[in-house]
Amino acid sequence: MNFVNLIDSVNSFFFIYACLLFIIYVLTAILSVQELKKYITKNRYVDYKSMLTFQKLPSISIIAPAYNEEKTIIENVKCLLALQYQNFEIIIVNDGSKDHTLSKIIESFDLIKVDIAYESNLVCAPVKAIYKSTNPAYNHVMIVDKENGGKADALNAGINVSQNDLFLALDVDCIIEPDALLKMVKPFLDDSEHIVIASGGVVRIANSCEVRDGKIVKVNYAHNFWAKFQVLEYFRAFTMGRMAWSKLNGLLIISGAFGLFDRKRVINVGGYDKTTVGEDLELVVRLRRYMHEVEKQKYRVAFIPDPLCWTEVPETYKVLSKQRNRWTRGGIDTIFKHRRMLFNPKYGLIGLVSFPYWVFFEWLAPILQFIGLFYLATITFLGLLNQQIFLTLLLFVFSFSVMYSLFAVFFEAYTYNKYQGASYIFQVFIFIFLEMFIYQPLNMFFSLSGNFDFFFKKNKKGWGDMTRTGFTNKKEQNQTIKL
Amino acid sequence: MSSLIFFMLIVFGSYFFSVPRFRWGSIQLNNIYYRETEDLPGWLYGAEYFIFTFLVISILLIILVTFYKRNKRIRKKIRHKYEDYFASGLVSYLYSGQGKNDGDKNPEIEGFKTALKDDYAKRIFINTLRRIRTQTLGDVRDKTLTIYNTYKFDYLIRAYLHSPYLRKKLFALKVISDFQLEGYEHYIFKLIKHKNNVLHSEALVTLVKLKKLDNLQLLLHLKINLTIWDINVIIKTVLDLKRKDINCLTLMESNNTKVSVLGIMLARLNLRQDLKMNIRQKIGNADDLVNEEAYLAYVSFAGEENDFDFLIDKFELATEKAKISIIKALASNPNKTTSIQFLELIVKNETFILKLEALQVLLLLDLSAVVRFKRSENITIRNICSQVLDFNL
Repeated sequence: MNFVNLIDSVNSFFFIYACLLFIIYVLTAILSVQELKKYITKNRYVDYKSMLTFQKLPSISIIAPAYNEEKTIIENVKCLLALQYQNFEIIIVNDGSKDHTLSKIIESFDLIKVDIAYESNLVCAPVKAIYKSTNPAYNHVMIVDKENGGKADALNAGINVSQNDLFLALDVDCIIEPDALLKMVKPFLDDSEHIVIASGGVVRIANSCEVRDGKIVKVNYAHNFWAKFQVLEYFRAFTMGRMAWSKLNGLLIISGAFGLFDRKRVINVGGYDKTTVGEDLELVVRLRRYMHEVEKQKYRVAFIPDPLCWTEVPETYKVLSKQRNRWTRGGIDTIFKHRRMLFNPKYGLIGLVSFPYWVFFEWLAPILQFIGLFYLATITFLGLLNQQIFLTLLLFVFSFSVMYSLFAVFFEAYTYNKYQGASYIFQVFIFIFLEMFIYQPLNMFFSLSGNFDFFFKKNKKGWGDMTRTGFTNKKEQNQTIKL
Repeated sequence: MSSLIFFMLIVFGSYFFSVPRFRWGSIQLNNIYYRETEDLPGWLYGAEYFIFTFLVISILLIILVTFYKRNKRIRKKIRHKYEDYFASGLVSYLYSGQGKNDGDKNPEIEGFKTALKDDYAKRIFINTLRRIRTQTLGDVRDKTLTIYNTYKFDYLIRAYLHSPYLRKKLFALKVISDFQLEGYEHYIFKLIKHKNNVLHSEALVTLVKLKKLDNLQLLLHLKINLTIWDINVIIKTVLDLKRKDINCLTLMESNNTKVSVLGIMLARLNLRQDLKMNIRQKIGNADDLVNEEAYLAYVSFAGEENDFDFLIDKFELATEKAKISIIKALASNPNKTTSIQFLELIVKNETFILKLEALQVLLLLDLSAVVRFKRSENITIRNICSQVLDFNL
């Protein structure tokens, strides 16, 4: 192969890859519109409060791991106590906090140490004690105090202690809408054709939002520079991407911050994997694999597009880089652990579409992006760059990216319309333009560092630290917690 | 349709920008960009055309976002204005003592006529009337129907039932059930078969609320797949209306397992002790849901010694939830010895959760048995005993 042929082949490869990516994005947009329309049509007039008097509802355990959360834990538990549901318990798993998380909860909720027997179905770090409240108002609150073992380990401990039909895996610092449980449970009740094994919900960004008594009272567009990009990113990921995969029943991830699972099936598959940092993705993939290999029944992972959970996202470059690095490592780890699913027809659409998509367009895209940039620099240096074609394609990608993001913004305005004000539209528009030059390249870099750490560094399972600023009073709530 | 028009515009644009001019009959459009595009290779021309399209769509999206946000704000304001106007007018009229006869005129009610020009205002008016009707009793409640009839809203409801929009159909069904309107039965039967489960659930609810209709026997002949959601909704409506006239037996005997579950649950919740033996026959049913509900219902009716003997005999066939209910019920077995012996067996041989439930009941029946188990060699049993004693003593 001579040099010209080589250049042609590389060009063709990148061109085909980009075309495929473009087609996927267009299909994602179409499918997400269809699915969201169907969801809204189906659920627009549902009286969720009537579910509170239903005779046949699954019981739920809310499992929230907490590590060094002393400044916000009381408010967070109060927020959970305000949830509307008829049969639920709250299990806070104190994952060996080094601050006063445990003593604060004990003091605030009149807790005493109790002798509770439970089945250790899942392996986890030793449980030191279990606490329950002497106050009848908090009789559905339970605290599991255990040695530090990480988020997955804490969730496993919570699953061991819980005895309900379903469990909600929750980041304790998230703010949940009062009717969130009702909406999340509905797919388990209204699908007569499939077994629903899990349901996930949309996670929205709470940075700069006004919070009172554990509830979002005013939704604001984030003030922080990095958070502004992430608002747009979450619009695209949740409203468009996950909605489209849900339409195909090919959703591979349910956010670790907020997901409802069938407890028995999770126990059957061995619970959360403590050896990975992408435990949320890994669990859903393993559950799907289990349904195909063992139960062999028609099943579904449901997705609720209503904004039900609000979380704080990283506001500094350093924290953002660590979070994205971890996400990348978690993704690669899951891909390698379940590589036999790739193009395996035994797993149906998951093996033939979802998993390959994750491999080629989630994991490999940033790597190819980097190689592409390097290649561009090389051919420019060699004087082989056709400027007209380059500029046309660059403009193509840019204009498509702008349109796609605007479509997600429009979608939000058309459906839930949580963000108000002319300045919001103006800022969103500016940040959509900036995204391609600042945020996308940085994300590529974070992803590459995640790949490097996974393949070449020893600490491939580390979580890194995250500084949370808190929802209301930033000066008071600065704290460092493990993600 | 709008997607199709949009797609055709894109295709037409793609063609138009690639030719010097477009002629259709007497219409001629000159392409001023032809010089820019004529020398481009086909794929590059396509890319440039896409760029143009993306930019146009982006501008449209910005306009639409602004429009929708403004539109939603305005509609919200209008809705509040209407709601306040109708609610205050209706309440003052309904509590004024007038309007018992259709002929009564009231300036406030008459005044609404000018406001009820469009469907939107009518919907808000009917909804306000519905809210008042569902929250009141006696004369005031009766007068709401008089007002409904005065305005002859029936034509609107009929039109809504024929509408292709789901929200309009749902609205019509809610109005029919709340005002107990007659003459819509065939629409309801049609909607029960609708593929949208919210609509068919609402149609079922309407059917239950219209007390003059048959006692859900219609479900026996329909080939619809009821969901757990439907069952919950129907039961909630039956309980809310305190209806005792449902023929649970025929529902229970249905070949449709979900209808059978509905019948068993209704029998349990309406305390139909007379159906105990029919429920007993459902125990061991091949369908898990029917089997479980049969156990739960039978347990709730169990009172005699032979009932408990039967439940003990059939314990192995029960689901975990049913087993727990049996264990809990054993506390009221007249033959305590049988219960204690059986509970001891459960503690020794069954799963963790059943051991826990059994020990809790044993604590009520025979404390010494629990104390004995506290010294058991099995660590799980010892731990459960500690919990049971810790919580209860």
